[in-house]
Amino acid sequence: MDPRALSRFKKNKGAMLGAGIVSFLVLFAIFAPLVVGQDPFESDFAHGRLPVGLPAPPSLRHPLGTDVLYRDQLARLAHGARLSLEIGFAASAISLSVGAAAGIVAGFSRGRSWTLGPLHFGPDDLIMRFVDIGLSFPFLLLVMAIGAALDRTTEVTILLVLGLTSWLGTARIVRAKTIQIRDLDFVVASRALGQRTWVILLRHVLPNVGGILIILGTISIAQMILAESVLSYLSLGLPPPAPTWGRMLFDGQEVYTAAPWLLIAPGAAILLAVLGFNLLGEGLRDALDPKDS
Amino acid sequence: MRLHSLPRALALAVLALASCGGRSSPIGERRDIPPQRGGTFRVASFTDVRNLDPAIAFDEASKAVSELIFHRLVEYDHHSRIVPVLAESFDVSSDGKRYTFKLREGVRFHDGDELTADDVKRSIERTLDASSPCPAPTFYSSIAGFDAFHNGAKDAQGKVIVAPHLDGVVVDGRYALHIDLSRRDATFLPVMTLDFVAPICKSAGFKYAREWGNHACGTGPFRLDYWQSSREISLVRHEGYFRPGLPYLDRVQWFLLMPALTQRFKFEEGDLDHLRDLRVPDLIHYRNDPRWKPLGQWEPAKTTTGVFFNTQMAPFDNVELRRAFAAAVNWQEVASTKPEQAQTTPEMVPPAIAGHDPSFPGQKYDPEAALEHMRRAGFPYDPVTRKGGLPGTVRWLGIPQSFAGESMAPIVQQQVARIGIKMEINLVSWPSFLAMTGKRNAAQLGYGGWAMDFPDPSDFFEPILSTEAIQDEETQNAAFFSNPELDRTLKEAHSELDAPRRAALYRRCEEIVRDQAPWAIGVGYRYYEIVHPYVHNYVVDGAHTIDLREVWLDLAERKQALGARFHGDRLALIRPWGKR
Amino acid sequence: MLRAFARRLLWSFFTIWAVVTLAFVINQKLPSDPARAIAGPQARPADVDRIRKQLGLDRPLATQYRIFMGRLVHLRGEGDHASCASLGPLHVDLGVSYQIRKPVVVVLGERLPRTFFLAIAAIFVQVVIGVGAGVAAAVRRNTLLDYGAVGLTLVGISAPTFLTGIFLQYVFAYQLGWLPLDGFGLSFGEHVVCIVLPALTLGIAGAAYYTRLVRDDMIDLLKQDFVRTARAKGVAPFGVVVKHALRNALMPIVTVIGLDFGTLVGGAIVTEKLFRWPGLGQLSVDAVFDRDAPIIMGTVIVSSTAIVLANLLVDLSYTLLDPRVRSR
Repeated sequence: MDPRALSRFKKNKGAMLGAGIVSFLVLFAIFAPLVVGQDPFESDFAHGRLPVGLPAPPSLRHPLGTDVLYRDQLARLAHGARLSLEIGFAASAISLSVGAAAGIVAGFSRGRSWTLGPLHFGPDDLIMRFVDIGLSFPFLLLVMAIGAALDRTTEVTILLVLGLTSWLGTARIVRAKTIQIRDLDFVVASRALGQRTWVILLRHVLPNVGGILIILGTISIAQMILAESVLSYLSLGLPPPAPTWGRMLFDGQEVYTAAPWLLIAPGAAILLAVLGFNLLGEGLRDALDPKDS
Repeated sequence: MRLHSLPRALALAVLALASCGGRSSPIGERRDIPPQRGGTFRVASFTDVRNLDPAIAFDEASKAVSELIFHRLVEYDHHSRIVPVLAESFDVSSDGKRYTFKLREGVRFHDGDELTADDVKRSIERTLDASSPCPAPTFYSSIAGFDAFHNGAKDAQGKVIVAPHLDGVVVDGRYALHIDLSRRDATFLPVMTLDFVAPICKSAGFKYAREWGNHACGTGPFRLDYWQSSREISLVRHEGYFRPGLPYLDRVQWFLLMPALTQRFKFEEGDLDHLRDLRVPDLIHYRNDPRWKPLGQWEPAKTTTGVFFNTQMAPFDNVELRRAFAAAVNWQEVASTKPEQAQTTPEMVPPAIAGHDPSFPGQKYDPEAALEHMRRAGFPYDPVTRKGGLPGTVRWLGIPQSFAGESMAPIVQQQVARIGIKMEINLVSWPSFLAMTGKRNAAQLGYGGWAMDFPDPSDFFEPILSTEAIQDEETQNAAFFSNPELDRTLKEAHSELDAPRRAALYRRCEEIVRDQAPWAIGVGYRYYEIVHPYVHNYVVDGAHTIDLREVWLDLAERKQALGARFHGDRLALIRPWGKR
Repeated sequence: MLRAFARRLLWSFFTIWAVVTLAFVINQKLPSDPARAIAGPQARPADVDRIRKQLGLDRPLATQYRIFMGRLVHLRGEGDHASCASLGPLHVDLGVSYQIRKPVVVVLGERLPRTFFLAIAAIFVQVVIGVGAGVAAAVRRNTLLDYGAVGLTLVGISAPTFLTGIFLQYVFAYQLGWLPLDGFGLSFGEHVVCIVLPALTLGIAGAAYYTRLVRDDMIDLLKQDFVRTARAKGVAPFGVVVKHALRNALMPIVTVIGLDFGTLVGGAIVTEKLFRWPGLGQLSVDAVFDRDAPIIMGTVIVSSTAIVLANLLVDLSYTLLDPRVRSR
C-alpha cells in the first residue's frame, strides 16, 4: 500500500476501529473454540434444560445459555464464527471479483458491436443478456437442481452457490457506475490522448469503481451470512449439527419469546461483523481515494 | 340413535378397545344451562386448504374443513367407534362380503335436495372413476367390480373396456343400498368413514370436474359460504341439517396459512377462539397457567416417527446392527426437545388408533445391550478407549425444517456415536427425500415417519413394511423389509373381522417389527387444543381435527371477556382498527 | 434510437424464452416425482402411477415441451380453452395447477397485482429511507448524523426479514394496535393499511444499499469539478445537492431499484408469509417443493418478464438521466 494512504488510514479513527473489530472476530474464530471448554455438538440434558423443557438461560456453566437442543450456545457461537466469516467473506469475494470484471467489461464496451450477418451484438449485449437470464432464473429451482446434482453439501458448494448466484446483481451495478465513469472528463480525455484500454481500465475505471465495490462487499458479507441459513431451509445448507451464525438465528426463532438469548448472541455477532467490515471498508475507500491524493 | 347390527363380537371388542383409550369430557362442558344458538367461531391453520372436493381433498387442512361440510354413511364417534351417521343402520353379512346400509330419511343437502341411495352410489363412482384424480382409490379395491370400473378389463379382442358402473354398489330403493366386496376386508368400514365416499350434491355430477370444489356442497352441519384462496374460508350454518337444533354456531371463519406466532397474538387479542398450532413456549405458557390449563386438551398422536433402516443394503442388512442402533437410541431425550408434544411410543400403531397399547414391551433403550448387539454384529466397540465400532460412516437421510431433521437426527447422532456408529446427516427436500427413500439401494437409514390415513392398524404396516409394497422405485417401504411371517400375518389380519383375534394378529406384527428392527421406534407427535373460556362443549378426540358440530358460544361472556381485555387497556383508545 | 430499442426488445424476448426453456428442462430433470407430490407423501404406488399417466408425465421430455410451447401462446380455435387467458384472438394457456387445480392464468391474475403492489410499496419505503439517510449522511459527513444513519441501515440489513417483521408486528400491531397484525383487507383503504408493515419490513432490509450508494456517490460527486463550479457560482448548497450531485447518483440507484423490483416480483417469500400477504412468494416456493410444474412455469414467465422489463427500463433511463450517454 502507498505509504501516504497507509498513514491516512491510520489517522482515520473509524477505520482503525473497523480493523480492530475485524481482527477481534478473526482471533475469536481461531482461538475461541480452543478456549471454550464445552462441546458444541453435545446436548446437555442434565444442566442445559429447564424442567419445563426450555433451553437454559445464561449461567456459569453455559455463559450464553443453551440452544433448542440444549447445546452450549457460546461453544456454537465460537465454532460458527469460522464457518460464517469464511462463508461471508469468501462468497462476497467471489461475487465481487466476477461481478466487477463482468460489469467493467460490459460497461466500458457499451455501444461497441460486431456484425454477424443480420445480427449486431457486442460484449455488453452478451454479458448483460447472460446476466438477465441468470437474474430471472428462479433461484429455488437452481438450488434444487444443484442439490440434486451433488452428493453432499460442503462449505465449498455453499460458497460456489452463493458466489455464483450473487455476482449478477453486482455486475449490473458496476456496469452502471462504469458507464458513468467512462463519460467523465478525465477518462474521455485520456482516451482522446490514445491511452491503451487496459491502462484506462486499471488507472481510471477500477479505482473509481472501487468505492462502490467496497460498499457492495460490506453489505454482501451480512447478506451471505444470512443467506447461508436460508440455503439450509432449501436443503442445500451445511447439514446439522454444523453451527453457523445464520442457522443459530433461524433455529432460535421458534422459542425466542422464551429464550431471547438464542437470537441476541448470533444477531449481535452478525451485526458486529457487518459494522467491522463496513468501517474497515469505509476507511480503505477513503485512504485509497484517487481524488484525495 | 337406533342400534345397528354389527357382528356382536366386533361391536363388543370395539367397545372394549375404545374404553381403554378413554376420553375426557368436553372442554367447557355445561350441564346446568342450555346451549346458546349463534355467533361466529374463528379458527386458523398454519397450512393452506388445497381443495374441498372430497374426491381429492386429502391434505390435513382440507380434511379438517371438509369434516364440517360433508357427512359420510358411517363415521367414527368420540370414542373411536364406527357409528352410522347418514345411514340409519348398517349390517354385515355373515361371510363379511356384503354391507347393507339403510339411509336416514329426510337428510337434506346444502342445496335443499334430499339425500337418496342414488346420490350415495353416484358420489362413490365419481371418486373412483378412471378419470378422477383421487389420490387413494386403491383403498376401495375390495369393492366388487372395482378393477373393471377403475382400470377396465380386457375383452376377447384384448381391448380395454371400462365398466360404466361400479357393480358392487347396488341401490335397493330410495333409502337403501348394499355394497358387495370381492373379498373379506376389515378395512372396508374404516375407509367408508373417509370423505372420498361422502355423498355430495347433484351439482357435482357423475364425473370429477375441476371447478366444483370451489363451491363444494354436502350434507354436513356447515355450508361453504365463500372461500378466498390462501386467505380464509367462511362456512355458515346448514339450516336443513338433519339433527334438529344443531349446529349451534351461525358461522365458522377459518383463516389459512397463519403462522403459529400470529395465531397466538390473535388468540390473545380475542380474534381467534381456538388454538391448535402451538409453538413450544406457547404450549408451556398455557400448560403452566392455572387459568388456561382447564381450557386445553391433548389430541392423541396420529403419527409415528422413528428411524428406518434399509434392510437390503449394507450395513443395516445385519439385523444385530439394527438392534444395536435401536437399543442405543434414547427416545426420551429425542422427545424432550418438544416437551409434551412429542411422546415416546413402544409401537408402530399410534395412540389415536383403537388397539394401541402403551404398555407393549417394545424396543428398549439399553446401552449395555446395544454394545452386546454391536459385538454380535461383528463390530465390537469399547466406549472407554473408543476403539472399534462400525467402520466408515453411515448416512442419515432426512428433511430440513422438520422435527425429525433438525432435532431427532442430531440427537440420535450423538447417541449412536456412543456405541461406535458414526453417522452423517444429509437433509434433502421432501420430494427428493421421497424419491431417494423410495429407491432400492439408495438410502441406508433415515427419518421414518407415517401419519394415519384412516384409523386402522393395517395402515401402519401394509404400505410401509410389507413385501407387497416393495418396488424398485417409488416404494413406501423405505426399509425394503420383507418378512414372510409378517406378510402372512398382515394378510390374515386384513380379512379378519373378529376384533380380538385381529388385535392379536397386529400384536404379533408389532413383535416382529420390534425383533427384526426394520425401524427403530419411536415418538408420536400430538396436538394440544385450547379454547377461550366462553367456548362450550368443545370435544377433543383422535378422529376429528376441529369438531364444531355441538360447540356453542356464550356470547355475553365473550363480549365481557373481550371488553375486560381491551377497555382496561389504555391503548384501546388509540386503536383505530378496533375489535370487529 | 428506435432501432436500438427494437434490438433490445428482441433480446428481451430471447432472454425470456431462454429462461423458460431452461427452467422447463431443469424442472423435468429433477429426480423427484411430481405425481408423488400430487398424490401426497403417503400415496400408494398404484395410485401414483395413475396420476402420472393422467397428467401425461410419462411422456418424453421433447413431447411435453412441444405441448407446453404449443399451448403457451396460441390462436382462438377448436379445442379446450377452459384454462386460457385471451388477448383478443391470442390465447395464453399455462395449464392447470396440479395442486390448486385452478387455471394458472387465473391464479397469477389474482396474485400478481398484489405482489406488484407490495413490490412498489417496498421500493418506495427503501428509496425514501435509503436516499434520505444517504443524502443526510453525505452532506453532514463524519458527524453523528452520518454515523447514525449509516449505522441504523446496517442494523436493518444485519437482521433477517423474519426478525424485523416479527419485531414490527409485536410493537405496532400487538402492543400498540396501530396497524393490523397481518392480512390483506377487502377494500383499497384496507389494503393500504395492511401493506404498511410488510412494506416497512422489506424497506428496512433494503434501505442500506441505497444509503450507502447515495452517500458514497454524493461524496464523490461533491468533489467533482462541476459541483465545485456550481458552488463557486453561488448556487445554494441544497440546490447543488439536488440538482447536480443527486442527479448523478441516480444511475446506480436506478439500477438497484430495477434489481430489487425483479427480486420482489419473484416474491418476498418470508415477508409475504409472515404477514399473510397473498402474493406470488408463497405460491412460487410451494410450487417448487410440490413439483407443481404449471405454477412453476407460470411464475418463471411472470418474474422473468418483470425482471427483463425492469432492466430494459433501467437501461433506457440511463439515456434519460445522463445526457452524455445519449450521444452514443
